[in-house]
Amino acid sequence: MLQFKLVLLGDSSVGKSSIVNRFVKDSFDEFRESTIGAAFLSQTVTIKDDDQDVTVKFEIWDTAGQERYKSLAPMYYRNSNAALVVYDITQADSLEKAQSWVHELKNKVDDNNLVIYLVGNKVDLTKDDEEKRVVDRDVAEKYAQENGLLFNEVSAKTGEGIQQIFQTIGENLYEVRKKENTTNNSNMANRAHGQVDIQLPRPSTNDSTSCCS
Amino acid sequence: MIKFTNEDLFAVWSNVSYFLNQNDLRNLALVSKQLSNEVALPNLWKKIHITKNPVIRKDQFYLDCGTSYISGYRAAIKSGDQNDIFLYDRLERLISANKLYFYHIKEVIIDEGIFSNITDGIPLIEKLLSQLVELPDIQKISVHDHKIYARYHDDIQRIPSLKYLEMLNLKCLPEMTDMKQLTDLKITFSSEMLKTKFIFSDKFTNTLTNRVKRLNISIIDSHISLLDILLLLNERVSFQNTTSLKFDFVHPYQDEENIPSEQIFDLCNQLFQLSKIQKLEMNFCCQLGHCECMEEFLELLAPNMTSLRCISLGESLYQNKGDNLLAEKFDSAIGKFLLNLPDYTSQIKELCIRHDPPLNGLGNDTVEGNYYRRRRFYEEILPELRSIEKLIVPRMLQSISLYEIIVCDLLWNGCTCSHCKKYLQLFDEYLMNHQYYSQNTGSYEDVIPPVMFGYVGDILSQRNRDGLDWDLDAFKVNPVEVFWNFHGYEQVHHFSNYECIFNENLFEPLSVCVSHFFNGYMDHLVGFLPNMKLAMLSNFYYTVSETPQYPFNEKMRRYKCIYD
Repeated sequence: MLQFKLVLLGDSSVGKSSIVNRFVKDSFDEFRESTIGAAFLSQTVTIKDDDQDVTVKFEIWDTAGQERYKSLAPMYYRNSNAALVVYDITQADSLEKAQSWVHELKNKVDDNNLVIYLVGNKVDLTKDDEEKRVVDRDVAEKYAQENGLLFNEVSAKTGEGIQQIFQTIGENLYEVRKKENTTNNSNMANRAHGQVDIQLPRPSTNDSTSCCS
Repeated sequence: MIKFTNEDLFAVWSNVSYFLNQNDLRNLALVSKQLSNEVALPNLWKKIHITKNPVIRKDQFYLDCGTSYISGYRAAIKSGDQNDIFLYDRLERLISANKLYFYHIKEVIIDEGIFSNITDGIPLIEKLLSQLVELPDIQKISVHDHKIYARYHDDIQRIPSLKYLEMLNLKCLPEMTDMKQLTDLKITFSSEMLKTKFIFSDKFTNTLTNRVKRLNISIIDSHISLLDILLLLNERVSFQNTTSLKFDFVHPYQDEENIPSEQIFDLCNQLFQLSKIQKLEMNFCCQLGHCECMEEFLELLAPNMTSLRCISLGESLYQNKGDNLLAEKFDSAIGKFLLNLPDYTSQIKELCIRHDPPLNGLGNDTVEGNYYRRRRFYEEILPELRSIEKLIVPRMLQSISLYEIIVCDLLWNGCTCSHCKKYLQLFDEYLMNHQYYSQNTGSYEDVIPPVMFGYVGDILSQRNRDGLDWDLDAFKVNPVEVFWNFHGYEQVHHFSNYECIFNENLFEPLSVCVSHFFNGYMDHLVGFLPNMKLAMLSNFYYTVSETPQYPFNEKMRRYKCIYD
């Protein structure tokens, strides 16, 4: 199983925790309280590689968007493999804030393979009343293209587009890791517990199929 | 109906507040402005202990009282950087409260290695220290990271209100006051320090002689002899009012001859008034099988310890850990010492015995007969010390792990309660599917019960290892949450075809199983020691009552464990 660190960034109240909650628990809370510091969750997606199922596990860092946590930002995104930068399509400022996050990530994260996904949340609010939209999809999409970001608009409330975000990130990261492995010839096995990867064969006497088991 | 005045009420609250932990105090602060300002806030800010991991919260043990803990992320499974985020944020909040509340602070303790990422963490600790050294009323700043402490050593020495000081050199700054409040001193000796000379003012020397009540002589280099240190100290100072003393009795490994125990005793006798010592901690480090230095020294010391009430005897080994012969030699020496005290049946109130078993529980001659011999030895000694109220054995589980048959009993013939029935079988599965790298054989070997419980004992001892300077203070520091993921240590791995279920979440259930196994020892101990009130065995804390009043497995016991 491959494991990647994914961090959510964005202004306060844009719906970062709700996106994570929809992805991890498939639920939505109308009265969610602000995140304090950070919340850590994990979830897996399965991707196909030549008819073979590959499990990708995300270690998700759901961060606090309030300004008072700004000093923690470098700690949030350090060593991350992917970043979900979220804005609220009904709040114009939130796209600007998202753009500043993208700028900071590009300047501070020394990893060319970092996958950044720009996400416009709360599309459900504009289904019945398009006037509530204040961030034009084309504007955000164009910005994403110019900066080499993945992009989509989603709704954490209805679940629209949520699974697809993580699926796409998983596929991208898998491709990146595959390329790295081809060049580095390194091992892709799980490195949980911070150990050197050692494949320990079971001695034949401990073989569960043996008559002595 | 009795009428209370406001003064009475606040006098009561001031006393009661000692039994409130920081969450309770915070709640109390919300009750009224007066309670907040006069009781809750001063107590919340009085003593701050910064730890890497959050403290274990247990009702009715009161270990977390009297101190506000600032720690990282409370979760069994977490990464270093996840822990850092919470600790960093909390420290930032603390620092930002400087002008509002720092004037309440009297003591600050900062553990070593609190941040995984030192690049971000250390500047924050330094920022905090820069503010603390400016406080006019602060009494203690203890920084367990020597490198960070060294940078603030001089600044801390300039604080006139200090009651506690740790010295890393024997120099007295010109601008240093005579430290009239100083009562608690730690001198940390390194090889460099022995090359330097004393530069103490007369005033400061006078303070050391007349005011220091509590002295900790710590040796961080194993090749420094206690003799050299005592000779150095005797040149310039003496500690005539010291009532609590801690030192390392080091016989350097490069010195194969016997060291002069008599001379060491004489020097101690000159430096301290031995008859005034009430609390004594000695850590012995001598691993020469033929050397009698520890026995000889203890034999000379014992008859002079007329005021001794609290005693901690520890061993530190660099080689030969787990050698049954050395362990028995240590047992015998401390046993003789205790029975040579002037009034051993009634004078000792607190006893701590710290052995130094190997990490992986593998030793020499650690067969069943030797276990029973050592056990019988303590069964004969302990009932003689009837006055003991507090018993501390910090490495009990590691000591027991040396004897394979005993820890096999723990696993396979131990407690039969529903909890142990459910979990112990899982650890049987763990043993079947994991191996560790044995340095002795140079290959991977099956994890066996001594190895597993040796590691478990080490993790348990980490729960207060960083926070404690004195073993005898075990009941003053709250243990922190440290869990084992059942891997690591000596390259413990599961077999490649085994889907491993073992992680930090299973450590607490295993701790409970071990605590149930320890009940057998506690049943004996409460019988031997009729006055015992508190015990700590491998970080299992016990409260002991005079009569059976704590229910366990449908029976009433005289003691309860922190994990019951």
